[in-house]
Amino acid sequence: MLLPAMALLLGLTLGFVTKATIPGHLAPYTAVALLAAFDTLLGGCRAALEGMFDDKIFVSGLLSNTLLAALLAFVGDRIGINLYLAALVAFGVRIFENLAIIRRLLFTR
Amino acid sequence: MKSRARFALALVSLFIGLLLAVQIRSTGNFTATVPDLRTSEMRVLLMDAIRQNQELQEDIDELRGHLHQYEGALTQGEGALELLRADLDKARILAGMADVEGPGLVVTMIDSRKVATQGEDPSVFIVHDEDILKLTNALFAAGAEAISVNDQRLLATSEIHCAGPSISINNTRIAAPFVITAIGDPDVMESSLRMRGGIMETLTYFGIDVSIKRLSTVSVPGYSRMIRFEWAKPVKGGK
Repeated sequence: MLLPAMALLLGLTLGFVTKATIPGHLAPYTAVALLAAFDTLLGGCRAALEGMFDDKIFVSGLLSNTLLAALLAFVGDRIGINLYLAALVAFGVRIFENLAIIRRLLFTR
Repeated sequence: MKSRARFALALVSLFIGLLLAVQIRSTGNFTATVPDLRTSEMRVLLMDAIRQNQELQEDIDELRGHLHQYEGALTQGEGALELLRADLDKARILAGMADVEGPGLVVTMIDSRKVATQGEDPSVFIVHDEDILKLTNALFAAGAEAISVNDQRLLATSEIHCAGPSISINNTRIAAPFVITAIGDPDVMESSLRMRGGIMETLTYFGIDVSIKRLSTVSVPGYSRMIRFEWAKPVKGGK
């Protein structure tokens, strides 16, 4: 669990150091996609702790979750409903769930 | 934990961290900038300023050209008269002294045929000076270059005023039907009259019969009498 955490910190510093920015009109979509990716990451950690990690499932989950979340936000904007809320709630709840399970796994090991 | 899982998780962690940092920095930028509404407002102002600038630049070029012409005419002596005549023609159009023609609209207004029922004020069903004033004003706002009402050319000093059963324009009494002729862009003028909440809506509500005809050439007569300035005198040395 140490390596992913280190990598997260490294990524953060890299992101702050570089000059890259996201165009203003895309920022809401990337934010939701980011949330989805974070959920998948926690799900992956949990699976790894349970010893059920499968990289195919992990990668496909990552891609489909982020893309679907961004797509929902995009479509919602087009039809005038805040559809991104659906992704926000779903992934938000799952993040907490995954975190709770990871916590339990770590303590009961 | 298998090393493969660790590697995959670490890679994705790195990526998410990177994206998160970029997102935070980007969002921070947005809140620091001007809100959206202000931006669009300012864009309009900017476009206006740019356009005005362009127009003034064109004015400068035109005036420079005039200056050159005058200078050239001065050396030749003879041509100056011709230039002055051209200027006079332009001034006549501007002052409304010359007959002009061009594309435009003919708007006819007839008093309402509705009979006022009891309790209704019959005066709302007839064309008032205000109606004509508003209509011509809307036409001027839509870029009309010359307007006449029943052949009375509207000048800078023209009044449109209630005079009992008739309406006084240029101190001449006119009566219904009112025919308003305007030279300008027919599309722009017609749509400005037919605008929602515009003059047409108000007039037709009271049953006043208004018809708009677009013509490729309409003619607007000039003001035929003398314009006298009894009180106003030009300021010496003014711009």
